[in-house]
Amino acid sequence: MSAPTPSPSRGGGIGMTVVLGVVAGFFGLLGGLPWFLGPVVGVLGVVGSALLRSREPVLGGAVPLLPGLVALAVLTGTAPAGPPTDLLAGLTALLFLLWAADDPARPAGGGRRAVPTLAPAFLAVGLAWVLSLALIGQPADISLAGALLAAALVVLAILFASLTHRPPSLAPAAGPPRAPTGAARSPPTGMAEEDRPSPRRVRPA
Amino acid sequence: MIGDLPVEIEEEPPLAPPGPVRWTWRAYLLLGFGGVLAAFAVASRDPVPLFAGIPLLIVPFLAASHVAGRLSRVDLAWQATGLGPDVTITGELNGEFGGEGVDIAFQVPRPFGATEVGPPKLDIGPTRIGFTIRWRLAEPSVMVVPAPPVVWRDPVGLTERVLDGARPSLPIERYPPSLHRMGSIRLERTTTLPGEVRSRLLGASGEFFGLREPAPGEPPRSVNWRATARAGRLLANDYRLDRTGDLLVLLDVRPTSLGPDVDERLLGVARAAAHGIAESFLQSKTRIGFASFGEFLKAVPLSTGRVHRVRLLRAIAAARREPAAGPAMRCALGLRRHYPRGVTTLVISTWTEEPTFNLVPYIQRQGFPVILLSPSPLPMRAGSGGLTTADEPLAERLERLERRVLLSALWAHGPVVDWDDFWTLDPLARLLRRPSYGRVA
Repeated sequence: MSAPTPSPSRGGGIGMTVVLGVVAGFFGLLGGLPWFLGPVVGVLGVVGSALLRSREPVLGGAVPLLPGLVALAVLTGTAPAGPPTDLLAGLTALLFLLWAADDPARPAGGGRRAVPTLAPAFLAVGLAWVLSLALIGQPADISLAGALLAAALVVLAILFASLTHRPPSLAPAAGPPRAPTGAARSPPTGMAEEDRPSPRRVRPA
Repeated sequence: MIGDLPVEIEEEPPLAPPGPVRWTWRAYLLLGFGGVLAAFAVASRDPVPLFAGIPLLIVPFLAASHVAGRLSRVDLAWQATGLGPDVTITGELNGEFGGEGVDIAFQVPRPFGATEVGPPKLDIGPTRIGFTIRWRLAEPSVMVVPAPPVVWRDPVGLTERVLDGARPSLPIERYPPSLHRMGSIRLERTTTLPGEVRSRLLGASGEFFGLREPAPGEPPRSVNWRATARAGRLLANDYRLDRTGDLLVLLDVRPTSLGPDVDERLLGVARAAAHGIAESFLQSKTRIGFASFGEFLKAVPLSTGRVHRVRLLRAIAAARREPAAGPAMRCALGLRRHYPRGVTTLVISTWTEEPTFNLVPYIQRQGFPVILLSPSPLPMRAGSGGLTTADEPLAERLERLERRVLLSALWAHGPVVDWDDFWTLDPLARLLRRPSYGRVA
């Protein structure tokens, strides 16, 4: 198969990997696991994903996401509730998505190009965290309600945007009328092609 | 209408709506993990997993809405150029990409037997994506490269959409260059009414066509002396040659002991030869017929002209190796039913086994003088035996001798051209130029 792909003008995604590793390690440090195990789980998840990403892509590049997602699930499942851990959980997930977009093997990827797609998710997490801080009550329940409310607001915004979106026209672009193709095209002079002599010359044998 | 045959005008098919937005494996993975985290958060009344799960759940929907409002149609214009085994495909995708041409992904399927020469080149602009691909073909072949599906992908890699547009398939024809000159060969005279139909060729006999300057060394007989006296300079006559004979190309698509892979490659070479020969003779208005014989005979009757050319080329492209071999008698009787006796018959077959040889005497007994063209499997097997560099030429020579002995049995029925250099067919052209090629006892 010939797959014309542009040469990636981005770096190898190492910077993003380092940032994600630092944030995941810090989240592990604040989490419920013993002090040395949390950062190790976070960093191992990021390193495992990065190593898998450097190989041939399998299932459209989904496999490299697995170690990172498993590490994220372990860290969030064991972290105690509280504003710092809430914020770090959301931030780690968002940075992980940004890291996934910055795949050097995908020409369509790129962290900067993914920002318009990821920006509403950043807003949702920020909104949820602010709501959980602003509302007064039992911290865990209020955080839960705030996060669900923010998610619902963002989903509503997406649905509203898709309802008001106008699909592009399917009419073909205007241009000069095309001549019939293939055998149906008649000879330009009105004379059957077979009857027209050509200057090909053969010598008698 | 062209001649007496109705032809259908190929119209552009109506536009289909663009394909739906599809989630990729990445999106399903994120949704699965996001769902698990959200469920765990609600069940354990712990908000931390929910904060991590919200982005994972929302982003696939965001990516889908990002794709849905974008580009829906991309047209493709492409062509194949190059000589001999080199194929250069240049083309461009046209659409309103804006600054997002990089999100477009497409793959041009590389045909069997072609190798890529260097990486493909891309030139991405706001309304067009130009590309250049270079292939090198191992053997002559006639193929149709299907139109590549064009997919728009979001930057995160979560959703994609197959785009609609006018994208024709690309025919590539590569056959030996010597076939281009084959149409000028005067075939054995087999037409029932000589002179009834003129060929496109000009020569020294036939119906008067025009006057021209005589070439150096031309015999005085060709000079038109009356015209010369009137004009005051030497003028010679040109005549339109009449068609001398018809040609039937018979392709043997019976299975052989070489295996499906080698069989397929050899059939590709045979198809290219049949295509080139038919094309070349049709240019001089020779009537050409085509038949393929596997289990049964499939025949295209003798004719000429543009419509017949299309019909022939489609039949040649559709010829496939058949799983079972029919009796040779069936082929011979079928030929007799479709073609008049005496038509020069070019049989293209690999002739790898003695039992397949009986096809030739049967055809001959029905009154068809045969010329046998045999694409050799030796070039495809060279270097595959694990021999050392020193032993390889010896093994090649022995195989060549063995094949020569094998084919010698066929010389009793007709001239045989053992075709082992696939990029030239000069031996066949030389054979056809001999005045008595069809009269082998």
